Amino acid sequence: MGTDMISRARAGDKQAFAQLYAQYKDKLFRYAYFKLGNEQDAQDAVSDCVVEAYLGIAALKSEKAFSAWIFQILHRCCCAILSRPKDMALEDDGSLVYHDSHLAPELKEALAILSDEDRDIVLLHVVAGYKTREIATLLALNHATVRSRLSRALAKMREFLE
Amino acid sequence: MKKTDFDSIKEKFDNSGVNAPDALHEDRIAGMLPEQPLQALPPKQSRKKVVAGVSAAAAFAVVTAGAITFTSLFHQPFSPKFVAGTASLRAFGSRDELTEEVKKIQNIRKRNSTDPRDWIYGNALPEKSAEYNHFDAALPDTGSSSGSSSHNSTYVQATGVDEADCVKTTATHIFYLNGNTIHIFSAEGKNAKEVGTVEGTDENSLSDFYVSGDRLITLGVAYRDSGVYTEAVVYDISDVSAVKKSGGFSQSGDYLSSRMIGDTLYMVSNHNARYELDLPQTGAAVSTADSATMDEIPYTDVFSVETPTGSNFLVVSRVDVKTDAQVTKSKAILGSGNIIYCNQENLYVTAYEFAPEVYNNLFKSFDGNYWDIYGGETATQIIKISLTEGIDFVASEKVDGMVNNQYALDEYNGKLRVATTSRDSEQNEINNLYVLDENLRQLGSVTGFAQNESIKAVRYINDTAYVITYEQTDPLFVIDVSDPSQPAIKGEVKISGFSTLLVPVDDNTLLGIGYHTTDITEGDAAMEMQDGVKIVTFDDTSEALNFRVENGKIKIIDRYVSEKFSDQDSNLERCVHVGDNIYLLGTHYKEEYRYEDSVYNGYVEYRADIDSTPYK
Repeated sequence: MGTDMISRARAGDKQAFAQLYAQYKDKLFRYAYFKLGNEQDAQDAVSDCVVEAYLGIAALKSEKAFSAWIFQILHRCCCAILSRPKDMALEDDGSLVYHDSHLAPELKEALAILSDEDRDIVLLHVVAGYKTREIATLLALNHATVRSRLSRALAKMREFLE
Repeated sequence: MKKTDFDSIKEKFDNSGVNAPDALHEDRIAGMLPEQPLQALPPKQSRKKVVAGVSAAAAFAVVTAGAITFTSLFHQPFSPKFVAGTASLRAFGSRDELTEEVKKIQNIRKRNSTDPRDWIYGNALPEKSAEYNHFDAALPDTGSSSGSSSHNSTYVQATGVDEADCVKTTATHIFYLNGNTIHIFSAEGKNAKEVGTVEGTDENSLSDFYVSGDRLITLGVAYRDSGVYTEAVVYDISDVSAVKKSGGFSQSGDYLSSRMIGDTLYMVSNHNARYELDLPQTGAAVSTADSATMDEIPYTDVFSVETPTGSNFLVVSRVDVKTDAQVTKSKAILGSGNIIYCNQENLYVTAYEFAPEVYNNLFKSFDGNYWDIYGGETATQIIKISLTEGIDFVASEKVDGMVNNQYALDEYNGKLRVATTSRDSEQNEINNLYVLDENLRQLGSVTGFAQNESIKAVRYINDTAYVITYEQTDPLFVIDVSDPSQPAIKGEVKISGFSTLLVPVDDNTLLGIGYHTTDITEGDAAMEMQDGVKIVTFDDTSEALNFRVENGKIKIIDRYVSEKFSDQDSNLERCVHVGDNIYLLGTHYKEEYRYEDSVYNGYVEYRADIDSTPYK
């Protein structure tokens, strides 16, 4: 499997790529949903991510790196969506349409009590499965800082939820 | 049942019911994908004509034409004014011009949903990532240690220019940033103990710091409602047991890097303007003033690179530490940076950008089809900033490819040498070395060497550049740059096993950091190094190895295994020397479970610690 799938995807085999993606799709969506707060944005983020990942697959050397690599792209896609000005759509009666979502409200609230960066750290570690050392690189932080912030954030969330 | 916080939270996520909807099913995804992933690039453009060997006047003319082409696509009139001495940095005639330019870029970015600069070449590691920067060539160096010969901790690239670090030493103390606290230890060999601390706060997350005389300066990142700020806080450490805050300064943006030259701190950050009025600001650090009022950097101190691909500003400030950060000066450039190289006269900032024709395509593709841009190459924009009389933007120019880290740049006799990695027309990675003059115009180059290897480290020693690329055997390329118009590859040497940093401790002792000591066995004829050089080293298995090279072979003299750091829950992070001792610094992690109000809770605590061994 492994490198075979990658080389097939690199050669343009969309099925091979789709199969690799299938193993991660739930985690990808979960990560995007909790980072962005609503399903529509999360869907946009994952679609953007998947297209970019496929386009850029030449940069990936081995299947081992696939997870870290695709989550890094997803993280950037999410950041891009976050930095877009919010489109304020209007209902017929002139009131605003909120793209909000009611999935897992408790967990969303628990994440909301954290700072943006702490939330990123928790999602990257718990949902995307990055090691703290990798998160330190991704977010350009000191490794020890990531470990301590992660532990404080998890404790805070747990206290909130229990 | 014992459950850590991690297990408990992970379980909640896994059982949250949040899963990929049907629209994201793999069968639907396959249908969304474009025809082909990126493979062959179109034939390489001969863009080099613009940069190499062209007279100043011609270069100016070419760039002017380019500027008019893309501004005429929009209704904003903007006559770019060129900064004296350079063809490609633009000044702004009013604040409105500046905000309009930011708005224009954001309109483009909105259609192209993410910043594709980042991923064309995969991961570009930010300079601050300490683990990656401190493991470089196993070579003698042009740089030096900061600190005197009696103690050292930070390897610095340029003499007289200090770099921030997580560990600093003086003749009597060791300062160690662990988590969000700087622990101050007395350098008393086996009796070393913690004697004071400097704490970060929830608002100010510490990245690294400097020690200069009786001042300690922290650099950190603060998240406020108005955005992200980089803060420098000055502390008086004349009494380490009672450290006092004495001043501070902050500027918009995420911390990129900093340097100290004498008593002057230069700090560099990347500010992402979220909307056109979100211009970079500076002010007193939030940790030292109750309500910090921030001031915008005046538009007369803001410039722009030729082709900014994002509304990111590079903010550079000069902070006088002697006055506890009362005296400061800041400037900004539209067009962000990611790697800096600094010597006593000049600060060079690099950012990777698209080639101009690719950039123009971005503006032309109104359908928002960002796939168009992937036909182009990336280039590195280099901005030269003179520090001799304040902060003066002197020149800006592009070279092909991407710069790996700060060590890929070096200035010697006024000429800047830059090593980059780029791709050829078949998408193979190739490497290049450019030599640029005082105005960053290209004098000469060597391109296309070491195909399919990325540059890991570069060391410049006078007229020679040693380039190490990533491969099991770490081949080393030796490039002669004595004639700037004709850099020439002199040879290739194989060095096995080492990816590390060697720091001179005295005339015949080097402190090595990051050796994989399991790769070093007696009798290995591994390196071409001077006989008689004694090397003391450690790796993160908590072992320090003292060995000598004799007749090209390694002879192990001594080993020290740190008991303190040898258990599973400890992590040895750094090693420094003060006086006759090597100090090992690291963290102990402790997981504890306690009952509180009849609920069983897990805690992870960590504690910074120090060990030492004499090395002489």
